[in-house]
Amino acid sequence: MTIWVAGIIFFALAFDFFNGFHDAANSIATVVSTRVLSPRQAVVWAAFFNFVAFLIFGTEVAATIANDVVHPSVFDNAVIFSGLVGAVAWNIITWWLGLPTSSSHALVGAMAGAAVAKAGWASLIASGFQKIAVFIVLSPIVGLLLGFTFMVAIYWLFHRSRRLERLNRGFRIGQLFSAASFSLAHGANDAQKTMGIILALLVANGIVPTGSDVPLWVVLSAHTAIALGTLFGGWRIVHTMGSRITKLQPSQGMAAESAAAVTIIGNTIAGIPVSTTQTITGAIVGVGSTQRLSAVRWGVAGQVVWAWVLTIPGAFVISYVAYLPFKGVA
Amino acid sequence: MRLGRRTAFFSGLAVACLLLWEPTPAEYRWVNLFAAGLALVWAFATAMEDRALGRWRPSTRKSRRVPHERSDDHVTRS
Repeated sequence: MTIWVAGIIFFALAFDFFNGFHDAANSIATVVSTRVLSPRQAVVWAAFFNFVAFLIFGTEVAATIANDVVHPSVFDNAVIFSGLVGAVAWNIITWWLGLPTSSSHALVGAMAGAAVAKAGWASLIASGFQKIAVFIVLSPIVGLLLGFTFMVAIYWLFHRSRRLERLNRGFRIGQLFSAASFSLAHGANDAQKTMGIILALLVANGIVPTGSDVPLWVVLSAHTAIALGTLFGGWRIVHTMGSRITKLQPSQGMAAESAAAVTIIGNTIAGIPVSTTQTITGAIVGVGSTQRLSAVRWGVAGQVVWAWVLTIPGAFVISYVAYLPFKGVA
Repeated sequence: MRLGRRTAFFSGLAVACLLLWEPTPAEYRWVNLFAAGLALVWAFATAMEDRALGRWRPSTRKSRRVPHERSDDHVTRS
């Protein structure tokens, strides 16, 4: 393995680390705000389940990223490096602008941009792209509908209960499980995107044969990177997240996290890379809709739609430009 | 008859899921069906709720308006 390959792997793991760093709030916000866990316990809880996801889920999402978006023969070090540059740059730009975009979609768009810069539009696999594009829209909708359904089910089941103290304790315990399942889903889907990139890199350099499974050391390092990102990101957001989440009650947090977890796990099993942030946003909108539609912050929902429209083209353009110097050298 | 906001919202979601039918790969189309079905169930349920609460008769709002209090309503009783 050359230093160039090792450097790109490190870069991919850094992308994974920042993915966990950014998304830590999604996993731990509700359990901290309802004081089910202290911030320290919540961060460790989320990071642990991010890491152990590899024991439960396969590597179908990684295979999709490595084989179904860009023709594997087009991948080389420059394409993968330019793709990562495009994805990271897009994440930084949108973070600066405050847009809730998905690093997963950025990665897909960026890999496509670099591949097109190298070998033209024929380097893309239309069916793989189509599958990802459809579920960019479908996943938040499914999360929303499940969030609404779970919340209504909770109302139906417990509206006659008079033991509010006991009920509340039950929801707080339920939140432990819902936060754990969301962290599992997040670790499984998001870490696999990085695994897919590293697998494509290893195949392109002949380090592993074409069509082989993701090596265990890649699986472990990707899950370690995202878990460490959650660990550090969680600490960073502890001071700022209170104002964002105070409107969620324990039962609502449990319903939203469970709905998002079910949606993401379903996608992971099907091998579809989805945005965990946008799925939980959809689930929270669904839970909020059980009160009244005006209870939902539609501005945030509108930003999600803008993110759908802009992310793949934006990351595509940046990585396309990032690849051009390599093309000149070639 | 006017659709309530939530009914319209869930109906719109159902339509969106069905519009995505064509581009969705065949093996995943059950997701579109499931989501559209669930959205229609909730559209129907919220419409029934609106009906039960009398929310879908906007023309009757005038007749239900509370009249202004007259000054003699405040006469102190002895």
